Amino acid sequence: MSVSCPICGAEELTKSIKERIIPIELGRDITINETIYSCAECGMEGDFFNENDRKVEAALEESKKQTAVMIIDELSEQDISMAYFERAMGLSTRTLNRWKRGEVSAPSFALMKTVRAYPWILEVADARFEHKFAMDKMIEAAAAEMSTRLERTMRVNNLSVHGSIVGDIDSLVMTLNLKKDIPNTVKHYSMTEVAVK
Amino acid sequence: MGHEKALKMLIMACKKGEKIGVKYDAKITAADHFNLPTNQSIYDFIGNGGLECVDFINKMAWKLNPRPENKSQVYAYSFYSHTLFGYLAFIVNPETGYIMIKSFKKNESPDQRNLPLKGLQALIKHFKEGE
Repeated sequence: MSVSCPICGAEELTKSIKERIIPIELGRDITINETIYSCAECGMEGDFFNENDRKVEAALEESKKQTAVMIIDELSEQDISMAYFERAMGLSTRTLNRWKRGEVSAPSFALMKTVRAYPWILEVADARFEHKFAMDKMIEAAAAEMSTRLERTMRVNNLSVHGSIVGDIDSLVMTLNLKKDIPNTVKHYSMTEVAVK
Repeated sequence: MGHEKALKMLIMACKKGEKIGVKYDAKITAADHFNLPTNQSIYDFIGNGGLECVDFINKMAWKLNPRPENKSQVYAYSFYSHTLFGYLAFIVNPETGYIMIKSFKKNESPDQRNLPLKGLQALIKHFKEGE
């Protein structure tokens, strides 16, 4: 069957198969074979008749199922049980089991990715999203991350510090748990206090 | 055709999912930059008001048109999706009404609306035109 170019009207289009790699943020990239039309006259190349959407959607659906299993397994390795996840988020029991079996919708998949990125959000949910608690948890997570990065940077660059940035950030985390203000010692630390060994 | 009418035509075509296609390169960048992996996801995004703060850039005859008599035009716009600044260009064939999305990508140029002297330039233009 001869099809014409929908944009320039040329009579002959060439149909070919092109491999496309779709990057997946948490799983393995997907490779699909797409049908591509090329117009010899205007040089336009594309899926003029929307034939590839079903292939892409099917591949993404399969990838979503695999990623859902991976996320649930990862969370369980961090001692986050499915029962805890369901209770904290107010989901009905065995919801995560259904997700793990592949019955995962786009919103539930988005929730899983959010929890994977910010596991402490479950504690926030458990505290019924109380604002002060949520902010404290966020700062605590940020401080812990900052501490890890500082330690890594100092190790990589063979640096030591006068005073103890790391120690004080740990104390910041402790302080936050006690719900006190950030100590001045932490506020006043800067990279000028970092010296080469 | 004016750029506002062309944009409305694009939005309508996206809503209906008819007489519209996406160029291969545009499809790749739409997936990479905007997380829109299918043609339909691009149409749904545009058709459901996804283009925010749309600003017309220019309109020109489609340079590679092998049949210039059909007067296909290319319309280019910048837009936002929340904080992501994007660039959109599409070709309209007025004879068939078919629209081809030619570019759908992250806009690397600075947003002209944010340039400090943009207001001054507009003021100079206004006075020059007034003379």
